[in-house]
Amino acid sequence: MENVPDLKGWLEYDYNPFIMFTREGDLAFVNQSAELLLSYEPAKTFHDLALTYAPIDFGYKTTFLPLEYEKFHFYALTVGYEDEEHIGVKLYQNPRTVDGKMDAIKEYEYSNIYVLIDINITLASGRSKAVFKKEMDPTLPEFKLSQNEFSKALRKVYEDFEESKKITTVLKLTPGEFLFVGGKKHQILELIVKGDLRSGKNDRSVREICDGININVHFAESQMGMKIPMVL
Amino acid sequence: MKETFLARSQAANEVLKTANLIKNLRINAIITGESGTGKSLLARMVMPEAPVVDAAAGDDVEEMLRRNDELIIENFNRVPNFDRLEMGDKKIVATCATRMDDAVIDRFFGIKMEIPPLSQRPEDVAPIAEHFLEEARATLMVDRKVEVSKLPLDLSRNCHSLKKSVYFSLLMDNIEEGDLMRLMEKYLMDRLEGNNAYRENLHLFDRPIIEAGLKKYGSQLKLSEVLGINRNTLRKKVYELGVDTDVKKG
Repeated sequence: MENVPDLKGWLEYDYNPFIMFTREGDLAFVNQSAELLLSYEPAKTFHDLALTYAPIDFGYKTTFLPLEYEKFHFYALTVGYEDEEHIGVKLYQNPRTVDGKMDAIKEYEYSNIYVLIDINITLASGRSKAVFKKEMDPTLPEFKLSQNEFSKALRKVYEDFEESKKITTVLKLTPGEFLFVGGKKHQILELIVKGDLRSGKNDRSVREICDGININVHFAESQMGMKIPMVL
Repeated sequence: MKETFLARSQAANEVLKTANLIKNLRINAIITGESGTGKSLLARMVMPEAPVVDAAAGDDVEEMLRRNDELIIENFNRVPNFDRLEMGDKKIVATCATRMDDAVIDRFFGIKMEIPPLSQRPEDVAPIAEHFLEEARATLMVDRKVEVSKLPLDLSRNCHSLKKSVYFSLLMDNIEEGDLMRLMEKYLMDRLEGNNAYRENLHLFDRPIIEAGLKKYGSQLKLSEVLGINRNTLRKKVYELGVDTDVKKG
């Protein structure tokens, strides 16, 4: 395979988590999706998994089996190693589904998510000395969202970043990702808030609020992400 | 005169911007801040047509909530039982002058706005005082121009004390002897009692005359001459009344 460019970016931004361990079981490489997964489940779980499902000899082996960690659901994994020093594992995610909550969503107002974000940034900037930066896809339509609950969750997210010097809010569509709500496929919008310092004291309440309004939330050391179904 | 939430400071502009943004949203908001910071005014800006209930006045908040889609609840911290509030899909704007438990706020409100006291946002004082001055001039029918910067403004109770101090300053400049007498009479009517009332209330005359005299003449020596009393008597009174003798001659 000559003239093939470096494929590391494909690995880094793969929707499916990929983790590479050293011989001692330490993390050697973790892609973005795996970072989120590791905020829920310790790395040792996946190291054990890799050793259990590793091929008999050097090479790669894919096994189909259902795996569940918090909100992450997988249907298969591939384990591979080409030398004695490293072993890698890739997990294949199921499409996300939210069952039986469509009735609640139907009651929500059509909402302009930019306004809700702007309000919360305005109020958060009054409490924090941080510089607020926005990187938002400007083309999103209004969609059904519980304004009160979403705003509640977002306020608490920004509270956790109050000690940061810079807080960046990213809003984007996640191409190829869908959420099944009430049997219907909806595009997913990802809201990421990241800074240099995150307290995490509100993680539990943010998760509770988001669970109630069909938003998948995930936390990493210095960022929070929400996957929001765009119900039109 | 139409009431407006005047904002020059960054903090006031932030809450004003938020209030304007949530006007058309289905979102519950709580506005906190000391008495006189403008919470009720801001709440009415968000929902001009909504009925207002005051939990501190014993209004039946639960019943009003059942009967209205939109409601302003003042003194929300005084609601007797939060568990019995059924917000449903109603729109609520609440106000609260004291610090509330975050858990209660988080339970009901998507937006939490805090209005800092006037002493922490000096940029807002002059425009608000100007507003009160204009109102006072119209109410008291005073044509003369008055500069806000020269008025002694009281911020101790935010807009409440500021408004009072502006009105009072304007009144003082136009007061005549008869007004002063009537004012004293009204004041003393409520306080005359016991068997030593003359002595107990004499400071109401003594103190202003000594303070005015010291401001005007600068020295106790000169003042005793003008007042026609012994300088030792004056010194004694200054001491007893606790008059600040470090006043600049005005």
